[in-house]
Amino acid sequence: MDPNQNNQKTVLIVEDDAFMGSLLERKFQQQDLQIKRATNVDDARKIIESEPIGIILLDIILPGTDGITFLKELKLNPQSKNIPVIISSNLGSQEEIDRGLAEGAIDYIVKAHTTPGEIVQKVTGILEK
Amino acid sequence: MEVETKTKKIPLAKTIWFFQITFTLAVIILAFFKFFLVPGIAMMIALLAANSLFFGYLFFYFRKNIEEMGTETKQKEKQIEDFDQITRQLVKRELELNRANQKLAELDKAKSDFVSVAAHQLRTPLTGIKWSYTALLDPDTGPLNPDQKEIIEKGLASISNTIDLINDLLNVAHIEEGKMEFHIKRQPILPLARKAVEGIKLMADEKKISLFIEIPEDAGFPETNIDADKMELVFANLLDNAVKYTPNGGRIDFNISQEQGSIKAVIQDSGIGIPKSQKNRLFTKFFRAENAVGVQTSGTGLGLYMVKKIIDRHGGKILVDSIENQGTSFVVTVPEQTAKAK
Repeated sequence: MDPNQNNQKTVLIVEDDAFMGSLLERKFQQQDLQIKRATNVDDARKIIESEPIGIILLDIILPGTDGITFLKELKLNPQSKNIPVIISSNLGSQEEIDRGLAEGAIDYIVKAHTTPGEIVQKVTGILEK
Repeated sequence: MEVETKTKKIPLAKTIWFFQITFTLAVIILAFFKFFLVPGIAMMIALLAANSLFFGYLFFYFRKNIEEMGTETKQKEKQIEDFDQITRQLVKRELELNRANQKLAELDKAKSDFVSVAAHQLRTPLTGIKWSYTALLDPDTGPLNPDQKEIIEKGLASISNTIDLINDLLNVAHIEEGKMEFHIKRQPILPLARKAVEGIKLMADEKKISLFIEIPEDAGFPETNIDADKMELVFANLLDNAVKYTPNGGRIDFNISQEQGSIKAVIQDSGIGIPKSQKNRLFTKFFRAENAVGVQTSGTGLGLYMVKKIIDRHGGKILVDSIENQGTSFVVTVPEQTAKAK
């Protein structure tokens, strides 16, 4: 992995649980990745409009607009439609996974079944492509 | 209640027979008086006697028949009444049964909804704890002394077990509701087996259990019509049980082969085995063998139930052979179906 290449790409974490968001941020920073965090869709929108984002890690259950609705919005917007989105949620039924992938997410992570280290590994793998 | 359906028939043949006898008797009496006694009075008496006999019989017969008919009518009315009553009871029972079924379905759905919501709500804080322990174990966070490391590792294992338990409950809720979706497609099965083996290696090492794994090379091995996630769950469950119920220093064999249009997986351990008397309950929900509870207090008894359901859905079979205190062998066969090696 070329750290300089990753530095050019910012990871946006949309996660309403501040503690889990901080654990993820901490792990990403260990890999020299640039991180932006939002706890709701409104904040995430502002970040995307203000700077280039390399990848989005998106929770589904969020205050206000939910993650799936935001994902649809992202995919309809020419500015954001090419940003890869990984859903990171504790909703883990096959129906929910299928729905997320059908809406354009490139992957679906059930948080309880993984660790921040594995998430970082997955994200860097996608960024390197 | 059994309904008497027999009805008494009017004895027509008997009636005709009696008429004939009566007329014949009258003719004989008439002939006797006419040819032997002759006088007109005697003739009249004989005619009267014959008429009395005839009309007497008629009266007797019809009265009897009317009485019989009346009795039969009453019986039929009672039978109709009984039938109506039974019909009303059946309709009432059917309505009650429908209401009870509806209520049960509602309760069942409420139970499943509750399990799904509870599972999601429980997962979130457990994820926080799991990720915290993972961060503490991360060398980048800072060094831990061996005691601290061991405590956190045990905590992490407990959390992972709890998350697995929630997943099991969710899966069972989905199975019960018929909502467990299967995405069966033609794909390789061997990587799933390897992944399941990776999942038990740490626990097997800790118990100094020897693993003898024979998984063929991917090249040339046929793809199979399976749901990858569910099949991985099958391997993971069977291997996890094998490690859990095999004493320290034991042995586990796991091999996969192709056999007569099917993929065959054999998981054999030198563990505590299953008591013969309890083998038939092995794949029932919430069942845990008595000796298993003694070895491993945690466990829901849902794993093998799910495994069986998944294998059934793939059109496969699972067989178990076990001798208590010597070991257990599970043989899983899944048909390749239309899939052929490329």
